[in-house]
Amino acid sequence: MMYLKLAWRNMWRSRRRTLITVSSILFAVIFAILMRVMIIGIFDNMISNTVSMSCGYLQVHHIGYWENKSVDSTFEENPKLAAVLNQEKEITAWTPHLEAFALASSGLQTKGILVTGIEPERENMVSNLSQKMIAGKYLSDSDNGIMLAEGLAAYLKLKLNDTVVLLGQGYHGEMAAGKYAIKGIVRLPVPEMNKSMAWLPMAKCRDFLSTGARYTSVSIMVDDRNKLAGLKKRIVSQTAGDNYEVMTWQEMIPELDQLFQAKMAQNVIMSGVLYLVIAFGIFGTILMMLNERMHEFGILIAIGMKKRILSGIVVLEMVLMSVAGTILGIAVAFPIVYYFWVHPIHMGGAWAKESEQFNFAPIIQPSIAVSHFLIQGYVVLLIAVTLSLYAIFKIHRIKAIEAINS
Amino acid sequence: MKNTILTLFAIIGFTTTGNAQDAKEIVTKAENNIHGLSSISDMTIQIIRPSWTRAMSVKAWTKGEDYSLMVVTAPAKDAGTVFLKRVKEIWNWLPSIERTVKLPPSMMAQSWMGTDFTNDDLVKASSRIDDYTHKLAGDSVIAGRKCWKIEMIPLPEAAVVWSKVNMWIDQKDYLELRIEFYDEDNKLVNVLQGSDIKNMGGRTMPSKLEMIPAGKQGQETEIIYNSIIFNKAIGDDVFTTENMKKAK
Amino acid sequence: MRSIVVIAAVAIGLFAGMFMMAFFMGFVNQEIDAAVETTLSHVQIHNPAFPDDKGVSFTIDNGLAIVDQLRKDINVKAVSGRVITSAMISSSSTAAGVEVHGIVPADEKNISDISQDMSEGVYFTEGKKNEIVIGKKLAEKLGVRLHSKIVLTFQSKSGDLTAGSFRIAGIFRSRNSGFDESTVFTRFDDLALLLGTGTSMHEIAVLLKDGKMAGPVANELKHLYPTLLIQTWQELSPEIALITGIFDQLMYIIIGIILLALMFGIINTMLMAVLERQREFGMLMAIGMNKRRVFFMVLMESVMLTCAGIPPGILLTIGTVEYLAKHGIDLSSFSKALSQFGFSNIVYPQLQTNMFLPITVMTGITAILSAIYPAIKALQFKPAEAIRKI
Repeated sequence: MMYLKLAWRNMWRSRRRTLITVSSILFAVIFAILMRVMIIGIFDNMISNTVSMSCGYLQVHHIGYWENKSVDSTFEENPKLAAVLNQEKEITAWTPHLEAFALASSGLQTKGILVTGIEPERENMVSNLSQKMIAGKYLSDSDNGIMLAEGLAAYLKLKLNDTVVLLGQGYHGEMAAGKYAIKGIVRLPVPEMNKSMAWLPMAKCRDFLSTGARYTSVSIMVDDRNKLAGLKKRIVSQTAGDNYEVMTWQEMIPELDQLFQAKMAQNVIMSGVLYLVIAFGIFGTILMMLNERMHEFGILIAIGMKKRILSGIVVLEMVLMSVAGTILGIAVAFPIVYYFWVHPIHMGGAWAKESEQFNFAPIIQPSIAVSHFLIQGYVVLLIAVTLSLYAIFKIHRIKAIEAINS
Repeated sequence: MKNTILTLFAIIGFTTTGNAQDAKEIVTKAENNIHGLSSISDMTIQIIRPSWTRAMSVKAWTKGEDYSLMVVTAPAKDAGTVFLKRVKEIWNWLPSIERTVKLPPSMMAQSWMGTDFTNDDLVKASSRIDDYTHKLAGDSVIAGRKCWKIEMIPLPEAAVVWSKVNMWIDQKDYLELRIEFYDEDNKLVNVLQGSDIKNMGGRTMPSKLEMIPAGKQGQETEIIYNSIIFNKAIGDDVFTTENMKKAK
Repeated sequence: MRSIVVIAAVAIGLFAGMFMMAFFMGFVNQEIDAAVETTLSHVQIHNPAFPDDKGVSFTIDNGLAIVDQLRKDINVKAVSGRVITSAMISSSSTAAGVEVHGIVPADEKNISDISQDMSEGVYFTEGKKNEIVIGKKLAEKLGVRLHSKIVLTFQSKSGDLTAGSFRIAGIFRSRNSGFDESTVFTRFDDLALLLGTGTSMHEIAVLLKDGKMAGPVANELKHLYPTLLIQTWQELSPEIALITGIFDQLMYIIIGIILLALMFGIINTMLMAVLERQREFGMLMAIGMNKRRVFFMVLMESVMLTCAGIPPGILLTIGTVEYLAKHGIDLSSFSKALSQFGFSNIVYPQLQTNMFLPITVMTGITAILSAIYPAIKALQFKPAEAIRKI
């Protein structure tokens, strides 16, 4: 208890010194947090953009569908599933799909494509499809027409309002055939997708494939991608017995996961470098502080204070200052990060143009997950406390007379 | 002594070569039996699966191996759909969309009308006569008829996925009563079985054909010939894309 | 003592900035190389109608002559001419749609490292006919193994449906399982024979000695062969160019943050130092040194310390990066999840000598700026009080 009192008094004796030390930790925490949230924010955006156009963060489909995609591997429209999904607060949007391989023909050309039955409103909330249109009107539920990807329309030499024929194999082997007027043309950034995709309103697609009220999959977008495992468990347990399979994006597109794991590993190294710089900054401050107080230490030791006790008090001071600095750092960082979260940084230049082609908004938006703040705060605290142990070493080496004269 | 041995070898040699010739000859006769000159037939096709069954009625015109025209007459949803095969090309006429479509190679592996036959089976890119070596492997009895069992191994260059095909050919009428298809692990993959042998259109032939995939329980496709007329003259103009639209 | 600390801080700051750049460069290059060396190459040449349709008849005029010409180009490391068609591959149990690449193994080995990604079997053996090399994912899908037989069915040049049987000589596994599932390799001659295309080719892929020359080389080729479609890897795979672009931008932000951290670190250290030297400054001012001189003195000290810190920083950077450039940093050791994918992720940091100057300047400026605030603080000491301070 006495240690605490002494430490406390020491701190307030030289406000300036304390302030400087606390601020060095405060800034270290702020920078560590800033770097982490920026990087993670970019990762989050990339994953989000990619999965929203393909499989979703989470997908519900019939068991075995992902390995062997066929129209026969569909599941019935189920109000229970809809209820479960609507209840989950983590889910920001979900949309059903009815997908099948088909032949698209325009008399002049034929091509194998992927046709997807969509519920236009829901689809838009997940993949922003209407924003990617370059001609025509976005489909509505009751439409009779079809939307084609730009490259596909070009290959088939078709324009808006032309007719395209779709041929394929429907449910239970029935012949699937239909002709549709082109209501809209969509541009997708990935060339392969841009040459081979088409969308029909769900009702029309079901007619085409003779499936009745069935889906091939339901794609789900979430608020926080770190909570997927829990969400998956809950959906699985609430729909047990329905023969569903719920897969995460990592299970569906492992290549993307691998890419991001590589970037996260990169991040570890980059953070390491930052910590190195931070550690030096803090160490410098500590060193200087010790130097400045050499005279004071010398006298205390000379009048009989045990070195052990002295170093104990000094370390305690530093720990208190570190904790204060960390807490303040987190507190100050939060509004800064929040501001950029609401007003993301807009990038310019060549990269911005390319980004837009991909429908990635060219922004850097930090992540505001609380975990980032706490983790970085903890790390910096750890660094600071470890470095402060140097004080013990330094104090033990003091030769009282030299110290007094410094 | 030497002479006896030589003679023995000669006899054995001749007998074996004699047998190999016979095996190929037998298969040739059997194959020609099926393809004949021309035919007009009416058949029912049943697709049987563990949880559902579907039936179609089809009317077909064939001329040799290279030309055939098939029109679906029932159920109502598919009625009027026409398949045209010209040598190695397959065309489709779909009344619901009033379009003729030529099937590209990528659709060849797709099942034909949902059955256990593929489009490729219709086209039959390989020949049972030319692409295999044939060997007699004993006799068996199938459906009360004595048959030759012939083991067929595809030639190394042949575009055939099977490593072995066994065929049972009836010794009296040269009917292909059973064909077994094996993969490279010697596992049975498909069985094509002919049964209900009747006299139809002046010929003895199995009126029921079943294609049974081996590993799948309760799954098969049945083709039942209801009636067939052989060797009636059919004009070449029947097998054209224009005619597809009018075919009934 | 404090001098050493400031020098060390500057050196570390410099090291941090340059190491980051080297690391980023290494990483970006690894990404690009991974794609370029497996599938893209630096430049690709096609008949303009080919990419949309992949029709058999859309071959490159005078392909052989062009390949020869390219081999002689000093910028070119390797060239490979390919005949390509889409086909159906069937085994006894399943069939799938694939793209068949008919290649000359000796050429292809130099241009794509698929030949080194063989998980089973041998890439191609001299003298054997009708061999095929497929991806592991495809082999699993088709239910086939090494030495199994498969049939390829496609449309020949004359429009006829043609088929040929091939034996699996090798199974490869690349990073991209989508590629593994959809691309198969056979010999150029075997495929050309079935297609009836003779010596014509559909694609010429070019690997350059220096990847950055992709643009200029492509332009040169466009002049030489105006009727052909010439594309760089960036045009072929804009996704990769996008990702590298993002990380370029990110790098500047990261370095900015590091420099800021450095700046605050130095400010604090200097402040402490100034605080420590209160008596000294007080004394100086008491004996008449004017404030401006004190200011400049502190600043000058900063400048000298910074300059002293630069050489060690540079040396440290060069030493570390040289060592790592040889041995590489294995990213998998930083991420368990990454190592589970089973692919090596080794990054080789690359020294960017052209960045030495800008970064050194930036670090120097940062250090000196950091000295300003403490220097100002020094002026605020009242001499009388300062002398008596403990």
